[in-house]
Amino acid sequence: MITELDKERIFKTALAFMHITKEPDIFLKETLESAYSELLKVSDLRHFLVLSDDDKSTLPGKAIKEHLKDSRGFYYFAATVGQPADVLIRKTQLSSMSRAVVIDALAGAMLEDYCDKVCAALPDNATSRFSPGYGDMPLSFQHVLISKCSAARLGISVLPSGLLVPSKSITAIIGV
Amino acid sequence: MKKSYFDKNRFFIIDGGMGTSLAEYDCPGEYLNITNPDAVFAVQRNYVESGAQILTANSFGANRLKLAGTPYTTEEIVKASISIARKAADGKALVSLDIGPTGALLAPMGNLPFEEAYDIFAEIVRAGEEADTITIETMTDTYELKAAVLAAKENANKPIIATVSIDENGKLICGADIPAVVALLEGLGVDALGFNCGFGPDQFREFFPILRKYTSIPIALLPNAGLPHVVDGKTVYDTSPSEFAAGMREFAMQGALLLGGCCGTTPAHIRAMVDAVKDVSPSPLTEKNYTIVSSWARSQILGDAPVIIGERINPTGKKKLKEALRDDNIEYLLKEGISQADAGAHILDVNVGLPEIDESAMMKKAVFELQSILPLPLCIDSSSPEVLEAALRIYNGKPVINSVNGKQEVMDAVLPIAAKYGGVLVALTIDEDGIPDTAEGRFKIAEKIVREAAKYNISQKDIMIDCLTLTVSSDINAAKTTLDAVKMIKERLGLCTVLGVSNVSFGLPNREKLNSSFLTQALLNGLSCAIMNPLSDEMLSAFLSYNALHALDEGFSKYIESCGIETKAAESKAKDADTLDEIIFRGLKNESYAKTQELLHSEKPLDIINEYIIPALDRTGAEFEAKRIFLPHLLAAAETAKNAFTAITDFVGPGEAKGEKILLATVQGDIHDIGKNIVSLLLSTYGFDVVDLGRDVAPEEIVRTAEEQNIRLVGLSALMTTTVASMERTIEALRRSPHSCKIMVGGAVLNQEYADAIGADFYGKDALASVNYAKKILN
Repeated sequence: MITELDKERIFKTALAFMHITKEPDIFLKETLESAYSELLKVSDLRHFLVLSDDDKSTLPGKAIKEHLKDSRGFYYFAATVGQPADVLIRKTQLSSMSRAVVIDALAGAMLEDYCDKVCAALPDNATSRFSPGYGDMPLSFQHVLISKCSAARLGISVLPSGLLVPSKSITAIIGV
Repeated sequence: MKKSYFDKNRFFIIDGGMGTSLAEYDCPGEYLNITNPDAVFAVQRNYVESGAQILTANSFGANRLKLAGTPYTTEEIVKASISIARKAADGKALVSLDIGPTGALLAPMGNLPFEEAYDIFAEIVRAGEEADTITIETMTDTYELKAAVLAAKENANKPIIATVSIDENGKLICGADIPAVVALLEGLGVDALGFNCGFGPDQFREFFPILRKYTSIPIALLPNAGLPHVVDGKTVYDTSPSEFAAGMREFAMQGALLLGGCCGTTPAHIRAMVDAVKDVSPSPLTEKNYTIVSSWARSQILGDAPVIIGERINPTGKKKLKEALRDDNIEYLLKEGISQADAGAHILDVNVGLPEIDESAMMKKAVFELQSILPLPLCIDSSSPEVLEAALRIYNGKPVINSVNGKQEVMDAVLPIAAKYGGVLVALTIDEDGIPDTAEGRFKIAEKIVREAAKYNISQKDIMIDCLTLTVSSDINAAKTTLDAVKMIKERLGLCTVLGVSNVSFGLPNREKLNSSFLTQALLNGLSCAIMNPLSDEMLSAFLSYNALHALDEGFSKYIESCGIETKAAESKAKDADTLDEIIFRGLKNESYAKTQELLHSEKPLDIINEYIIPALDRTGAEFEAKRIFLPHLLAAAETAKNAFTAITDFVGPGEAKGEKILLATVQGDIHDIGKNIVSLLLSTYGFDVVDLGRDVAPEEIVRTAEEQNIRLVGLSALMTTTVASMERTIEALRRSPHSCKIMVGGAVLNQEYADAIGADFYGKDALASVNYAKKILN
């Protein structure tokens, strides 16, 4: 799956995450390249996708109902870059904060790209991903999604505050 | 190794799935112990009638975290589960207390402290006092596994079966491989270990041989009835009893001794399995002779290819590290760890012994923090048994224990600790009569330690002998004696050996030349572990060359990597950045220290700061605000400036006058702290004295620190809407305190409006904004 990642697209997203609006200079380009290959070595991308048999009316909030208005059913979705990426980011903060910031952005961008690749295989009428915390869907719904996705097997946990661990993880509802 | 309870030359049949058998009741299965004990009893009785000899009580999820908010307590659910199982067993089966994961993630990955996890498990173990055995299962994190096993050992005296769930790479979710799990569990002295859940027999076929290769104690295997899939919204497992039994028969023939089932298996699966293994004779246990140390992420096998134990985290003769330890500056120590790991160390020695500090507390902190950022196994190094025990208890994995020696008093103190927690012991060949000056004499002490360790059931494989490097300049035969002893240990005892090599050259010039040659000779004589400085080019070359020449470096990859020609454009760019301010502005981290040193020959330290460093930082800041440069660049410049400051401090010595203090913390419940760390770096670059309390910090701790250290500015960060509530509580607590201070806040979900609403004095939209605010308030 990793070979299918789109590096150029990931770089673009990472630059956007860092609010970088200019063409990167040579210093940043090199950091992106070397940070990307370092991240790639430790990344452990995984996902879980299952068609729900629950009724969409059971999902909390108005926004998700609007999001699913043309969908008959929905998927539960979870994905992660894996724990080693978090360890790498934490470690790198001690040796080079500027590099850590780049790896952090790349890891987030890598997750996005990976999720997009996974979701590209879904039927044409599939909606975009909708995660707890968007609109009025409470962050606490994270706990439900995590258990629906057997996310523990992916190595994703949710802390009482709703934070996901590893930090580069996502849960979402996808209409279909 | 102590004899396992399950080493009885027979199979033990364990029951099958419980949760999946109770799935028709739409509630967590453990509640049924109270609400519908008959249903639980019926399943278990069925298992006994199918031939189960160990009944696993229905207590898997009974812990205080999972039961919070329910009408049930751990004690009542566990006690009920045992009494139901006891009745169902009817004297025909043992009853095992069942312990599953807490459901929370342990620190440092999550925020459940190790000791709290221990308490949670201890409560379960005490509630299960009526059980015959204890099953710890479905673990995916070595740290949680260790907490559970320790709780079981210390709060009961029952045989322990510990099983983990692996993924398709044969690893735990935390990253640990199979040998790492085996090393940890055998080290802790469980009675059986193995796999459960996750896979069916088919998928375990690939991993079972690896488990068997390393495991010396009885192996337990409890697969699911195949892989789960969803049919009509229901999870189903469809490996039939006969297929399941055929698979289990294979594992029984290959050496599994405790056989059972997990999700999706039924009494029919167990009955079929009992029939299938009827004519199989259990394999006798054989001691495997791998010397293994481990961390949460990996195992390191000693004795095949030699390994480097990085020696730099040791204050002896290191002024800066001593200073860092006295100042509780863990960051310095962590950087020593990172640089050695990056240079190629396989294991890191950790010694924080200084007379004026609390060595136990510092050791625990060092071990925990190092394990938060590095996957390398550690070598816990202290002369104090109390410090060793404190560190071994919280260490995630099976470490090297440095050290024991031939003195009876030391063996009496250290061996019981090693036996309890597990570890590979460094045994120094010295005793009450000193260090023998012959190889034979040192060999005898090694033998004595091995004999004494056997009394504590510590296997030979878990001891490595340090034949002791003495200084050649004071005894011309010293090196020869050591080298002979290494060879003798290797040939006659077959044990691993370890040496701190650099002592040999003490008092002589060009020490690294002699050290590296001594290292090569020791490796030739069979040395397994070199305690050395991997940052020394000469030492590392000697080590890598030895491996390259002895077919221990496949494709010469390590050797070639070490010769890597640095072609970083950043360095070529350095050529046209020849002034310090330009170097800082461009973020050329590797240049600034030397450039500053050079300037110190001709200019005053204060002038360097005012004429180069500050203007460069101001320029960087202005460019950042104008969006002409961006965060990575800003931070690189800050780090480059920091290196310049370090050169100045190294030149003039640490100044008395530190900047004004600023407290930073990521609020309680929040463990993502990169934003806070960025602010911390920038503030310290601008000369502020940052008191960084870290992440997940309770309001009380923040208030107390602000009061005690009279801090006038507090910076708080939060990442999630849920943790902003915690930020608000912290602000309220600070406002209630008689101590007055300004509060600045930042973080992904915050904005000006939100910051106003929770009563902050300032909202920092980015890291530089926080610096500017601090300058305005404090200068």
